Amino acid sequence: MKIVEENIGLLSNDEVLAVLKDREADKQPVISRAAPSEIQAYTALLQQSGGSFRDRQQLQTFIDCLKPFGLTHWETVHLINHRPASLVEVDLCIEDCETRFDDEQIEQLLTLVQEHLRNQPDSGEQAS
Amino acid sequence: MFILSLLEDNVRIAPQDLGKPAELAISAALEKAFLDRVVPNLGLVVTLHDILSIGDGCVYPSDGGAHYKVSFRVIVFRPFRGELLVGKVLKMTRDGVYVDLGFFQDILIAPGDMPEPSYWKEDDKAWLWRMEGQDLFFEQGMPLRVKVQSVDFNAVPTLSQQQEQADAGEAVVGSKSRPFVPMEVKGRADGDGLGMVHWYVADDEME
Repeated sequence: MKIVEENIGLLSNDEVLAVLKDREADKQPVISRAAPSEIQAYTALLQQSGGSFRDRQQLQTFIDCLKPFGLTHWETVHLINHRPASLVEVDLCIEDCETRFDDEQIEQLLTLVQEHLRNQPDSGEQAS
Repeated sequence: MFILSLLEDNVRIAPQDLGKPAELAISAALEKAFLDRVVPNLGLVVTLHDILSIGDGCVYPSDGGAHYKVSFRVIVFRPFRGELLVGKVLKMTRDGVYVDLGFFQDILIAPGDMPEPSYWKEDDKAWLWRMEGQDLFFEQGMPLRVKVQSVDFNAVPTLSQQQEQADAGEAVVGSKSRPFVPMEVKGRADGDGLGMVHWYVADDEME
């Protein structure tokens, strides 16, 4: 076995959930064609994600809104995975948050997260 | 948390599976070999993403199976240093707090990486953080936030290494009392916002 390319790209939890759903990890173990470990991973991630996950398009809209902030790739993935709701949580997701952004920008970030990631997928589309 | 990796492997399709369409038989073989396994220095393979190419089938003498060189992508769980993870407390021992992510349970917060000052309470078999006179406990089964300090891959212990350990009188790696851990993640909970989630919720509500 050979590892041709170790890291083609970072994946957010939502994208992994989408792939697992394609492999029928959301169905009952008896009829699903996914392995029990995949079903376990799906359930665990879904619980962490709050019961629903967003599709590629919604994530792309969110990522486009983040462009003016100049975040690195993994910081964006962090925000998508953890959906911070307070200053303390944002500080955990983004390195040196307080030195790079002022209070107003952090407020903007929190609002964007609230709009795109925290609402139900339907209302998220309407807001954007 | 997850990365996409491109792997290449030789897959043998047993004679009884040659009647199935090649893609299905190969997917089944790959799933069996890789799912929920740790690839050394890469990470835990969560699921097969897709198959990029299947080479021509080769047949070797005295083997009824066909061998295919397959190029495929897998989704791998591999946290990076400094990443934030949210999990539940699996168990607590003198060695520290073990964190459970559901699909991965080998994350340990060593005593040195816990918020200062932290104490081990033997009666409750729990770790607690003494902050400003308040005793905040780590509670089993409850969610907590941890930042990744390091990810280490351990090689499978050889028989001679196990023999040495047995001779030295210590628990042998691979036995029930000291299970073999292929991928170990060390986390830290000493920082703003890290540790049990409910410690911070209470603070916000009070404000």
